[in-house]
Amino acid sequence: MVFSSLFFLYAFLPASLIAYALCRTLQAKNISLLVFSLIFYAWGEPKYVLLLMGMALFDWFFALRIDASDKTAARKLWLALAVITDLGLIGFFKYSGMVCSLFGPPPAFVENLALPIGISFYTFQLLTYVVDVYRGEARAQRRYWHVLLYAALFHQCIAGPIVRYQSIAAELFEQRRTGEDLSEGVLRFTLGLTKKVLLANPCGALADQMLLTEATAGDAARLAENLRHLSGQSALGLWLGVLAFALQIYLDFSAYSDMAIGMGKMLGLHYKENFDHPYISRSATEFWRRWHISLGSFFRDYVYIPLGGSRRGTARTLLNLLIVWALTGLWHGASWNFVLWGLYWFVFAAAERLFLRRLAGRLPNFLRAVLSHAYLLFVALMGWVLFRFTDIKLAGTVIRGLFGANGNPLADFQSVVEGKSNMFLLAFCIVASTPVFRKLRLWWAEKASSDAGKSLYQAVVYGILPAAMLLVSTAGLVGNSYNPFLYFKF
Amino acid sequence: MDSNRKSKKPAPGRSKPSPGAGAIFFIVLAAVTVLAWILPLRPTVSEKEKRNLERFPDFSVSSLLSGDYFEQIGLWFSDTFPGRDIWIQLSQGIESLHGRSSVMIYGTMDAGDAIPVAAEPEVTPGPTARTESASLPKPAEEAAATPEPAPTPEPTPFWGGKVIEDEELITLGAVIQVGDSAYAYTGFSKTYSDIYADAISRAAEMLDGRCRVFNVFVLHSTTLMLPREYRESIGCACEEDILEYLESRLSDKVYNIDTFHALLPHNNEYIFFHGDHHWTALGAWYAYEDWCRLAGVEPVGLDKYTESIQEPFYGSLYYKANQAKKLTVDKVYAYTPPGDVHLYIHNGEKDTREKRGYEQTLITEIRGTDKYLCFLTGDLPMCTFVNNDITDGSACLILKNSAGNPFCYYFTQHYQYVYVLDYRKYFFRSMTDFVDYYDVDDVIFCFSAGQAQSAAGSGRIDYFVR
Repeated sequence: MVFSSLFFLYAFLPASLIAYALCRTLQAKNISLLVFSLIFYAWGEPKYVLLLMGMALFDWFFALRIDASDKTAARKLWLALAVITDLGLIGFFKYSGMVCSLFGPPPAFVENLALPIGISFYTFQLLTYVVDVYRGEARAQRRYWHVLLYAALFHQCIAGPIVRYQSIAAELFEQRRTGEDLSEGVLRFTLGLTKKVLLANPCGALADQMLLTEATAGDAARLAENLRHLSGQSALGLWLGVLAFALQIYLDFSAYSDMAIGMGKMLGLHYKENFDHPYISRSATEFWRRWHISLGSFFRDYVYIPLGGSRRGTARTLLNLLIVWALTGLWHGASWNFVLWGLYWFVFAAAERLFLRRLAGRLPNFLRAVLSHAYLLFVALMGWVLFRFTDIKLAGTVIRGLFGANGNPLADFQSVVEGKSNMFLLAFCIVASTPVFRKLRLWWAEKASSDAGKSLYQAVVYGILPAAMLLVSTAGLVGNSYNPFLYFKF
Repeated sequence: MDSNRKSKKPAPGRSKPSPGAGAIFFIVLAAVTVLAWILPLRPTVSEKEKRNLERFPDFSVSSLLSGDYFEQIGLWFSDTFPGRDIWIQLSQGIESLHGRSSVMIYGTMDAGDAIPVAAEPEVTPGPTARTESASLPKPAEEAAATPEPAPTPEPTPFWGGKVIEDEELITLGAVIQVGDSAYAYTGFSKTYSDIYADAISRAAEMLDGRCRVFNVFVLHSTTLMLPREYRESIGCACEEDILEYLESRLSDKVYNIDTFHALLPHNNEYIFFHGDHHWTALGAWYAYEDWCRLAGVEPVGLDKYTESIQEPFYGSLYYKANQAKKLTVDKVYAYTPPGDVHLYIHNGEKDTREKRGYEQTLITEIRGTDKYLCFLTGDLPMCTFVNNDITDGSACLILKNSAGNPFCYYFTQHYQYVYVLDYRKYFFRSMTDFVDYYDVDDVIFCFSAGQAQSAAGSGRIDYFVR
């Protein structure tokens, strides 16, 4: 099940909210949350709910052993077992096909292995739990179902954000003030829903139109045909497609985080922000501080810093960065283009650290701001081309075609029509990718000083706006079969 | 936005919203939830999309374990959402804000084959108009001159291939909206055009001396309503070239109706719908007029028919165009033939001369918005027109897709029996079986350019011609 579906909005969500509201105690509320979370997960993957429960069981047990052990060696042993189990399972389900393909055609059972939805998210969450217990930053949870609830919580189980155990444990199991942020939660949830349905989905449809659908592009049997199609696509068409894809992936991913954060707030659970308008960045490093923050902080805290971070010289720092970026790429999908995409970002992050930042510092402020931003956008857009196409030949064709190097026209009828037909959508999405709307809201909130002004602000922002967004999103979902879920491969 | 801290406190100057502020959201959520679960409000058919909506899935353990069962429930829930047409209209209104262009493209534009230049015409003269008496013996004469053929064994249903239910499946390319009209993106497939042309040619060879074979290749409105330069600039295949190519490939025994030149002088008239891929009954009449020229008969003018109008008609392209509001809403003009004409409908299984099926009104009154169904009540396997004012036993067979539905009415003025088969649904007899059994004088193939050039369409026609 996905949040942006009518069944979720008008069956699952109301039922879960009613059940939650009817429960009096925190324990009863949590049991209700757990039951609905397991139903939510089992809706799309009935058999893999057992995998989720099993992994939570292992990590619950390993954390208890770590907590109970006084000796460092024993603690390390239990930690190692936990890490091997978690990474082994994710490796088996997610990467066995990729590894087998290095040695020839993968066996049938590997080819038929379905990727359990959300495995990359909940595995990392469970890892943070065990490691935090090992580090003494969190106490081991005595109750298995508490660990299961933490991993399976439907708000963030299948599309993030990756919530660290210690950041949520107190609200989840000790004290929760449900209702305090209800209106904020509702607003955030409906903003995310609208972002997904009214902005990300049309951008995705445009990207598919100009760059081939993911299914078509991923069909190896159609490679020659796909190459012919893409090499004939006009430069304007390709730019439109790449821009639309860049907007789709940000708006879609951040929309899921918005909805998760919003639903959490409705119940008194506060998850960390996962996106902070990454396209306004001026460097690759800054981009990744603003993009998928929970993943970046996971790799920082659980890989980069344990490897020594930047404290052991330039060469070691670069090696650590290389490892982190390769893992970041690999996390996004079991395909070599994702590894390449991760390494691509490493090159720019490393170049910035070594010399680009210094070079940029010599430029006048205005010029530096403009050029840095243009540089980041260019790097990000080219990066999305690598990300989108699992076949590197297709990505190369698109990148060449962007500059008219395929002998393709700069513009043609289709690209001009599509450009005109979507110009307001794209312009609105670009603005929505910046903090403009948030700043407008804050400005209004500050200006509304009188009681009447405050009431109007609250009625519009927390009352009318969420209801209207729910209705228009519903309209966007009825009868519209195009509602992609981008994270199945994560 | 501070990404590393959870912001629990409002920023200075901001008032914390009261929990009651979100009440409107929950009222709306509750109201739509209740609406969504009033099962009788859920539609089962979409007239605009011309399809049955998703049904609630049947339960099975295997579908439960695979996740298909729940997925199907989700599909049913959204596909049959109460008031879906109103929601869709709202959605289309929002989508119309995406941009500003008098031209819109819907769907994916696929590049077709290049159209080969038609071969030089051969020295031998092409088919010329023949009179019935001069060229073909009357059935009665033939019966007297030749011994009665041995009865043929009862044929069995022979088609084991794909049954084509949905024409949209084989529409070539995308849809383009120019101003108040939508047009199908025209393409060309050499492979399937060749299969089609060869099948029609083979039919003419097989029936040579027995029946005349006519080919009516129904062009898209795109070809007749948009200037050639414009079509070329947007990458459409020019169907007049396809027609010319087919002509060059067809046997000289085939009477090929020049639908392009027959309709072109009338493209300022209502010969195509604005929001549908079919031609109108008027467009079909102009093609019939050209058929009359080739067949050597006088056309019966539309003034002899009784005109009726049904509206509004929302056609296939209307649904595909997201900015459908800009399209002119269509009317279906239907023409009831003069004379003592009756229409019979048969399910196409074990049809006989004695079992013509049940009688249907010539033009059906359609309650829904798919008014095109008024012709022959839609795409039925087999229909038979009987004109009791003609008593010579003359008969023609029209093998068609839906483009032929308004077309076949005009033949009631020239034959006692007009047999109309929908090639997608009639599987009982092959062409020669049919011609022999029903004593057919003329065979008319009438297909839209899209279906004639599709794998399933050309393949099915090829198989029928036996």
